[in-house]
Amino acid sequence: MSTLTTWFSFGTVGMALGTLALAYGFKLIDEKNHKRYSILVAVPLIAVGAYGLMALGISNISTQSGESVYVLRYIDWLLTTPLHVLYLGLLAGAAMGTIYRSIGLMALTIVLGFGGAVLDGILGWLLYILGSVAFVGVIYYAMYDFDDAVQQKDDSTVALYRKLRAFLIVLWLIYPFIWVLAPVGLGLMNIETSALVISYLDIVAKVGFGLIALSGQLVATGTTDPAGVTAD
Amino acid sequence: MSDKNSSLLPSIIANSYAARLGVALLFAVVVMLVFGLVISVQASETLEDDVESDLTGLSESQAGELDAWLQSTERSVRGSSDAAALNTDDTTAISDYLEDRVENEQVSTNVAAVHYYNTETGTIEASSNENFVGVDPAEQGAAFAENPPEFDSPHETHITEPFEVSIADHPIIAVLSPVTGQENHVLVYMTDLRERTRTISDQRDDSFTVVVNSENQYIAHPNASRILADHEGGAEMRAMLSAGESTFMKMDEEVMGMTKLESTDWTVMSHSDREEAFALSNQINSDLIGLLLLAVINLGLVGVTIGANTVTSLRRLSNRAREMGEGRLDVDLSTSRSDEIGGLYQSFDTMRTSLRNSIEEAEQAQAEAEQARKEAEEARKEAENESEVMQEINDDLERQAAQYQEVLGEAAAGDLTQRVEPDSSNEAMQQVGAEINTTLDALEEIIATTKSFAQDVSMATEQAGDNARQVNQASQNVRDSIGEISKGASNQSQRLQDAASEMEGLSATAEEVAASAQQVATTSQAAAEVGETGREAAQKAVEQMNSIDEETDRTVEEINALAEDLSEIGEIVDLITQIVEQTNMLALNASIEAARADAGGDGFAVVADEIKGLAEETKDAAGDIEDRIDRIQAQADETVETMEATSEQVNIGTETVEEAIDALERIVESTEEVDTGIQEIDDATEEQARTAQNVMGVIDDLTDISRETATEADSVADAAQAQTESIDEVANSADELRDSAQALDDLLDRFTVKSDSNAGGSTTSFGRSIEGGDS
Repeated sequence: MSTLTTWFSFGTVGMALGTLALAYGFKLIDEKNHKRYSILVAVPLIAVGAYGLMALGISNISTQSGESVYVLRYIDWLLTTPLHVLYLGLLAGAAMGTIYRSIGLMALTIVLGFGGAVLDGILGWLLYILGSVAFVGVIYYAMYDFDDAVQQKDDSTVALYRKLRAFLIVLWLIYPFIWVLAPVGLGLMNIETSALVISYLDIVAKVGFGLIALSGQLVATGTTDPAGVTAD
Repeated sequence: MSDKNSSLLPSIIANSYAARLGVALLFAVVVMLVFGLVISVQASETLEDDVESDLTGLSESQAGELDAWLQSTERSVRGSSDAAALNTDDTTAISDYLEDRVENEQVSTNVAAVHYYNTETGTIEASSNENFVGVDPAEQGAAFAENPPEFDSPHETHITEPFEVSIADHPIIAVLSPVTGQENHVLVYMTDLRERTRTISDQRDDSFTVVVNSENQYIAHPNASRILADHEGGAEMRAMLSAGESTFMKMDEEVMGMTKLESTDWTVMSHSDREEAFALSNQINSDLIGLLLLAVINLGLVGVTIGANTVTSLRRLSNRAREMGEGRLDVDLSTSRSDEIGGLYQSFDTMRTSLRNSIEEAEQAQAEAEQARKEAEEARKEAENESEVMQEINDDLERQAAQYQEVLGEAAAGDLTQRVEPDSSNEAMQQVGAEINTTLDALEEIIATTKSFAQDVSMATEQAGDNARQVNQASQNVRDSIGEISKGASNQSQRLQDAASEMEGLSATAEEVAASAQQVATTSQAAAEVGETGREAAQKAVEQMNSIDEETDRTVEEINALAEDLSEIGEIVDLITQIVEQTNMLALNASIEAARADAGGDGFAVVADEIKGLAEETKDAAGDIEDRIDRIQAQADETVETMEATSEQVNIGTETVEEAIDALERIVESTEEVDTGIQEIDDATEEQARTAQNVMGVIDDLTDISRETATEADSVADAAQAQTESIDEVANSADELRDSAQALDDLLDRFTVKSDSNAGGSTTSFGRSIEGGDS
């Protein structure tokens, strides 16, 4: 478990640094964008809590197949991924109904993934597939409904939206593969490696998303600050 | 990318940078995946080999140890069976001996007890463990008792199958050897199999080793209770193994190394938990997957950030470039990037600026060229127009000039009906044409009017001349009569002077008649002279008018003088008329006397004698003559009036001629004709003068006639009658002349207003026209 603790601590530190970096962004952007921007800061902040508790060895439960599942991780995802979808929807200026539906699908994806992780056998895989379908629904909203909405915005916002969308879709598509390869799935990857990969992916996805969004907002508002560009 | 043949990639990939990047990243992932798989397989194989060799080595070593133990036990039992201490029947001593050997560990390891067994009786006669003395192993179920081996030589040994006896608390393998020197006795080494197994099984933590014999019984098992229990499965495989051979087996849960013992048909099987055995392999595989996933994450990150940025920037730049290509040069080319893409944007910006400048220059040049072209076109058109206009003007002028020349030529040739066409674009030419026409109009009108006037004057004066001649003739007759009367009167006067006192009144009257007759003659002569003078004045006026400038005034004066002379003539005529009246009375008397002379012969004394009666008769006749003279006087008055009017008209005509001369002065060569006209007028005046002289002659004739009395009286009456008629005609002609002169005056009055601008040029034709009119 010491390896796991290491990775979780790594995740905690990474998220904490990311949160600080993003919190600094409040000073750079317009006051009127603070509300939306706070979503970006809230995401790694939530992850800091989750990883901190996991590093302390709290919250792992045993699955039907005897593998460990970290409830906090799913709680983290259940909170943060809809926040990301919300930010994307707000950035695109999509209708709130559409945003709520996509948030719902995103939450459902996480819940179903959690169910798939906990339950063994066919039922687990079924939930996993259902979760994947829900995630496809989220992608659909991001590709079409949000995209239609963002066409009304200016060029830089469209570019930022597309970049963030591609970022989320590409990185989030890796999660299902990890899920499959992890002990809760096929078990080709042991829990320590899974923890490392997921930690890294989480940091990249959450902090990276925030930094790209910050950079994009700075570009959009005309405040060209090259310091914010380097996402990693 | 536009040339699809140049790319090996399918167009859907070749046409999109994102697709290219994605394919490249995917290719990298696939390569990593494949290589990871290769590594995984290789590592797994290596690890599996390691595990196999590890486990088979374990089983081999265990088997070796077991073989060595069994062999050492056999040697030990064979050696012990040869011991001299056993060559005794004293079982107690043997037991002691055996106990001593066991306690002193002079037997091989794990030998729990050594028995001295009598195969014939089937009892243990001595033992290191006194509990076994006297025991019947067969009852206990000992393998060696139940199935006793046959020994051919005292040095042979036999190893029994494992068995358990109630007296011992552990499974047992017994090793037997016949005791040398003692029949039917064997030495039995009874080993503690559990203890032995513990040493085998406990050698490694992560594995356990069992030993199974050919009967599928566990010889050794970590779980001691399972010793002698049946082992399930694997018998065939074990049977295939020859002595000392090893093999490796993978099972679901565990892996196993297996070695057959050389000394017996036992098989040593070292088991290891499969998970644990392959834990390293799994860890490596897991780490490889993790590494692969991290690589995928990073590649995805690169693709999404750098790739998406680049794609976005390039697509935006591409759109901007396309928009620029479509002519919208004001597209936003700002970017926050400072790398090569940013440089590209800046290059585009520079290019755009350059392009814009070039376009502006080109447009400006085009506009200038267009402007220049338009100006050139306009200039060309203007030049053409001007050329055409000039040509037209030129043609027009030439045409106009030709026309003017032709018309003026015609006019010079005498045809004044021709007119120029003043319609011309050239104002000056038009004006010239208009002036020419005006000049020609005025000229024609003047000439026509003057011609008509001249004709009228000519006709009237001719008639007046005729009439005057007739009057003159009549006057001559009258003068002749008066001469005769004068003579008669002279005679009468002389006769009356002779009879002066008597006929003083008659004498005075006769003197008055004579004086009057003389006066008439003188007056007639004066009239003739005046007429001559008038003719000369007229001639002089004509001559003077020939010299145009200086002579005109004098001519006018002469004409005036003529007019005055004419007036004087009128007055003289008046006087003559009065004289004629008086003469008429004398003539009446003379006539009566003459009539009496005619009737009564030639004696005047008879006449003087009968003067009173004759005077009465003469008075009557004179009254008749007076009447006639009155009528003649009235006619003369009328003639004088006519003459005055004529004179006035002539004066006016002279003025008109003067004015005409003034007008014609400017028309250089017209004076000659005027002169001619004036000559003609002069002639007429001369005629008039002559006529006046003739009148005087007539008066002389009348005097003669009056002197000749009777015969002349009728002719005088006739002549007076004719004279009356002629003078009527003269009056009419004078009226006509007056009217014409008035009309000419009016016309020439109008002409005067315009005449200042007209000068010369038509004198010749005027003169010709007058001449033409005369002829």
